[in-house]
Amino acid sequence: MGVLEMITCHNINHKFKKSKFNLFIEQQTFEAKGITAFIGHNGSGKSTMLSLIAGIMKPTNGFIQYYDKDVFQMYEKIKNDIHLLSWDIALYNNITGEEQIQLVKSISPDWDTNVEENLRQELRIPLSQKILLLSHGEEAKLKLLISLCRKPKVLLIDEIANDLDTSTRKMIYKKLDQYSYDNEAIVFVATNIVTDMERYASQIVLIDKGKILLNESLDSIKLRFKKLILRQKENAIAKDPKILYHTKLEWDGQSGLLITNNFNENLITELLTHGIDCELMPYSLEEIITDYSGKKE
Amino acid sequence: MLSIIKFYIKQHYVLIIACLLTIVLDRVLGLIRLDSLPILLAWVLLYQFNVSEKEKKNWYFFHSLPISLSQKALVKIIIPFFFVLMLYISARYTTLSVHEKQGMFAGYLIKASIFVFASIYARSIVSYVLSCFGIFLVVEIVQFILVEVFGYVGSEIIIAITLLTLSYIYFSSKRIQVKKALSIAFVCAIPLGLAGEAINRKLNHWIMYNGDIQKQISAAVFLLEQKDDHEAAKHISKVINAIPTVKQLESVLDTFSSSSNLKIELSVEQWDQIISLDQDKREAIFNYLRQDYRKYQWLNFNKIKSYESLVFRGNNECRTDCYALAKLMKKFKDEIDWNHFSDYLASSSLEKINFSLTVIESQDAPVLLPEIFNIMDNPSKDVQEKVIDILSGWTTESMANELDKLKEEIENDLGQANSIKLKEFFRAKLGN
Repeated sequence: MGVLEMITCHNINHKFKKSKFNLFIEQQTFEAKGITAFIGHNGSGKSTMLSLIAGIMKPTNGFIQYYDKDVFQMYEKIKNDIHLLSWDIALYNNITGEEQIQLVKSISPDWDTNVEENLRQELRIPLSQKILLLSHGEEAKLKLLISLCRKPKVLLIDEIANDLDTSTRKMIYKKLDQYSYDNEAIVFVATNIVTDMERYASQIVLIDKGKILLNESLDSIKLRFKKLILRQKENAIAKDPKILYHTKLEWDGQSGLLITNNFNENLITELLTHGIDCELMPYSLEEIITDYSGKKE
Repeated sequence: MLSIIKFYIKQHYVLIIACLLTIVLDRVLGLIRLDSLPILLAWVLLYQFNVSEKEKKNWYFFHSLPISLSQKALVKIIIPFFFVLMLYISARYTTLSVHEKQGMFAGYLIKASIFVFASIYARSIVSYVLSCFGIFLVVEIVQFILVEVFGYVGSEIIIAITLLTLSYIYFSSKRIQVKKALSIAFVCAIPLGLAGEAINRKLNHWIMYNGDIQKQISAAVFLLEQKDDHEAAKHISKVINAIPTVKQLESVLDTFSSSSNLKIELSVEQWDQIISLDQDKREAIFNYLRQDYRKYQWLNFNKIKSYESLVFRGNNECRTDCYALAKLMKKFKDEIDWNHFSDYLASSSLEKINFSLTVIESQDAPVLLPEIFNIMDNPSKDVQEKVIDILSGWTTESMANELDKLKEEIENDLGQANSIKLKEFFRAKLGN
């Protein structure tokens, strides 16, 4: 079986008893190899979404499938395939990292010792120390080591990498990306650090106020979302041309700024028709997300 | 799997050792005399084992380990359940009298399962405490209903299985089908409960006719407490006279005294046989009869009188069984033949005098006053004090006629009386 439609959400509606927060996800599929980034503000619903995909929470309505299995009901059968790494899931504090590894290793039939050796060297975790004494970053690395050695098909990382230093974080994202392609796995990363995702993610999921605003490959986003500087030629037909396919258009005299979420050949043709030259500007993922979520709001 | 169990033992070894150590200190060495301490520690251990893991956010990590739900339930539900049950048995079981044990074992099943279920259900220390109390209250109500249908042992088996099933359901985050699980639990628990009750009864019937006398009695008493076992009622009469110690006999008789429904169905001959036992046992039986004499139609003054031959030893001393018999005799006001005691008071036997005075003591109206006055000069301090007690209990008015008639005689006797207290008492009564 390939990675197609590995995770499917079927009209999820999740309400919390003691909060007004309401997660509502219409039919969605997550099937891309590589890192799928869940991006959104604090409280937007990223962690809830990951917990639902991990099968540790039952949605109020709807269900999520891993291939054809309901992730909540079939949790016991698929728990080896889906791992959630989150600060809400703690390791045992009063044992050493080495003891924690040995505990899981002793009961994991699929434990990959090669991956273990490799990660031990690369991550350089002080395994002889009690987990209580490890820094957040070291604990995150240990969780990652324990998980990757069991070769999950779906790895859900809920902001735990945010506490790592930049170089380690980049090294880990690179490793996760590689892991995904090597093992036909899907890696979900919930984060606020968009710059990392711009470099390593293959799929971007933008969540805001419990709703998915965007679920698209990074390449597609980069192709579709553009920022252009416009300059009207002297023989321009109109001073204030009506241009289609734009999200935002501001003129300042003869020049203007156009932001579009639907960049294509027709737009260029249209601009030329109106006697307008255009020049593509750098448009980062962070800017795209800020502009897009602002517009949706 | 073994490594997980080892891991948890290592995690909680301090509390596990504390539980076991308190039992050793209490039961083996007798140093603390607090059998609730290991139970309390077991309660804390369950908090640490299950509730605290949720508070520390380790719960999901344990759930995500690559072992099956049944194996996880074994670690988190079944092993703790049996550990607490074992602690209960070790801490309390042997301190109970033999006939209390069977009922209590069934009670331990429930208490251990309540602890385990509360620890699985609760998510914080507060909810753990509240859950324990809440579940206990619900269980008490359910048990009250079930006891009438399934008996003691049966209902407790059903409740324990149901609580353990609920623990499993909550442990699985209700992933398993709740209705199906509960239905299976009930389908298994009801026949088990009925079978448990039936097996328990059969076992007690078997024990009642086999094994040592102590076990036979406990089995018979247990069956009698079920209120519907006539065979046990008859059989107990056969074994009761073979009870080896007074303490056990008193314990058995206490059971009968505390229940208005229970009656030792002994024939007069069997009673006679039992009463011919040693002095201390006789005392226990007379005291028992004194409390419940109306249950026994055959018991009357003449019958009791026939036992005097057993308690009078002719050694001038009314012993404990002698006093116990006298106290029993006091209950038969309407049947008492006072001439009988007149002779005893006139006799030189101190045991008969003390026996008679014990019977006369606390009679509402004065009886045998001349005879009592006649023994005022008795040198025995016991007799003199008893005389004062008896006369103090009667009003001067009720004794006026007799006092007038005997005034001169009394005054003469007073001169001879040895006791200063007695002289003072009569001077007050006679107005001198």
